[in-house]
Amino acid sequence: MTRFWTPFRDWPIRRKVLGVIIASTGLALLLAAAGILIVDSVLFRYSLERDLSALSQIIADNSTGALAFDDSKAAAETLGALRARPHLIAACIYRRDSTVLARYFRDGADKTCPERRDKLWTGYVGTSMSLSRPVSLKGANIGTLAILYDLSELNSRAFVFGAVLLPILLVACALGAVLSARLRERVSVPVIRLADTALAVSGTRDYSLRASKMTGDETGVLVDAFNDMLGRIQSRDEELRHMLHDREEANRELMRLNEDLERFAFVASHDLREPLRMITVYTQLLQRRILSDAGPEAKELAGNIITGARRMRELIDDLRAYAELGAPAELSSSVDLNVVAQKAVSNLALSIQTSGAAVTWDALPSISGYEGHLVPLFQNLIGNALKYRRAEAPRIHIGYSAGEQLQFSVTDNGMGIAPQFHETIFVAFRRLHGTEIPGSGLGLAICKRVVERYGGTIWVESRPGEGSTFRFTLPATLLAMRPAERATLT
Amino acid sequence: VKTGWVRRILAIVYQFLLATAALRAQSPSEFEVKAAFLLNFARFIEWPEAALAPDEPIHICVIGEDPFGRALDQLVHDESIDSHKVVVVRAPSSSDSTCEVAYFGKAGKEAARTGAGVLTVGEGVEFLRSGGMIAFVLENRRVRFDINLPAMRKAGVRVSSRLLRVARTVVP
Repeated sequence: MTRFWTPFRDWPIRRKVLGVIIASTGLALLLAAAGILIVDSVLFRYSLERDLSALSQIIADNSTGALAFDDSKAAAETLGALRARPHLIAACIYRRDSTVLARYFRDGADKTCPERRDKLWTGYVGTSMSLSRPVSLKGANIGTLAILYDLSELNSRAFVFGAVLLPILLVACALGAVLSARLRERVSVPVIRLADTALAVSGTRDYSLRASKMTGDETGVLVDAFNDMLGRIQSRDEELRHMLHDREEANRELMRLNEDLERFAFVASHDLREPLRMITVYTQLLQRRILSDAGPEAKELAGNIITGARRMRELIDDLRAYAELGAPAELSSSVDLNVVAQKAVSNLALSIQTSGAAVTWDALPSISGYEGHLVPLFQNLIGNALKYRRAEAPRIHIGYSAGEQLQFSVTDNGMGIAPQFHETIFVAFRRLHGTEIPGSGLGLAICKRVVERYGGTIWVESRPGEGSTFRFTLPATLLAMRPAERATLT
Repeated sequence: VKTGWVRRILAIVYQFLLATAALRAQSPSEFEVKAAFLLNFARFIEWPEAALAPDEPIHICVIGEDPFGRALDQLVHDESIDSHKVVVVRAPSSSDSTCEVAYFGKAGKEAARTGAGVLTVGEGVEFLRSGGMIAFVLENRRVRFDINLPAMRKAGVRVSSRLLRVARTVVP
């Protein structure tokens, strides 16, 4: 059944409705025609039988004399009257002893007498009807009349009937289709309009379009629901567009601010270095040449100037490093983190020496990145551990383990950090300590910025007095494969 | 050898007898036909109520000499016309018996003296002239009959037109 309907499934509604009308009209008319044809043929056959029965009765009555006196001439005359019935093929009068008294054959008919029976009998032989009737005279059976009647009349009648009915049927179907045109429009046009509107909406993305409601039926309900839906989509669309616009504005503003800040930091740090160097150099000259003879107080003051200048240089360097992190950089070159750790340690050699610290690390991997980012990361973490130490000599260990992500840890035995500060320490210029421990307030901010730029996260696990462990992760995709490893993989 | 001859002759005789029997069966004798006609005439005739009451048998009388032999009796045996049984009666003259059908063989002249309500059948055209109603005639060795309608009317005997149609000639 489904297979039968498949070809019609994609028909437009207009054609479907037309198809339904023509099919139902045609079917109804066809059934009516078939019914009429059947009834007609039955009635015709019935009336033919009756007619033939009556005719045979008359012939039988008229042939009683001929039969009684064995007068074949008179019998033949009686049968000759049948010439007026062109559909009568043959008729024979049998004597009582089954011999033939008289016979009649239509021109061109087969010259065999129809079958005789002892009782009144009607039967069908091919397209003909055969009738046998005993001829009785005053209660005595004196012979038999047998008749063969051509029923092809019935078929030709059906043919004529069909020839008349078929054109009527076709005309009726066509007329039905034409007359129903307006009715069809009533059904199909609202749906077509709705479909057009839906197409227009999906084509133009114009959600302010509305389908026009033409009827109160299911199509009307559909139109209402469709319009309602469009209205909701429209308002949501507008909201979304507003939100997107606002966010874009905010983003653009933020980027502009960021760029300004970075440019300022870069320019400031670069331009401030030179005057600072001059301050340091000339103060050292002053110390060496003029203040060599002066009292210790003057020397100390000059030393303070130099210390302040150095701190300022450090601050500027950090600021510059922080600003540079925002600048685009080539990240694809392979960097050996063992080398990076070594460089960080070298940079911090003086502090390590003075504090008597021991810095150790696991075998670290090579990752694709930029040394200019990674050295400050390690240097700041080690530097912090050195800076916020307790009385004993610092022990600092850099741990590494590979999993779904690369996991690093920098563990120290320093003073530790209270949990409430675990977030704020990573914010730029937020310092927990005053001037007793020098710092720019940018160290951990730089670390956070580096780690996040590479797609990782950084956090601290620590308690006051129990040391700290700074942990950060980097994506495993950064892992630079060594030539040997590459070979095994390919 | 002898018995072979006898057998052959016997076979020839037997076949001859068979052939003649078949011939007799095929073409009945003149009086056998006439007997059948006699019975059939009665079937096309309506007698006045006075002559033939319902359920009364129809008497076919053979007046005078009987030419039919057993043929008529065999034919009529157990026959009936409507509700009337058919009975054969042999009488010296028509006045001796109540007849519905009276056949006059050689005694043709007596027909004129027959009363009303009797169908008179005789031999030859002269029979009609002497007042008879139906006369057998031979035409090409076939048995046929003529009808004298005025005589029937006079006797109150009504005849079916179907009988008239098969008659050779009808005297109006």
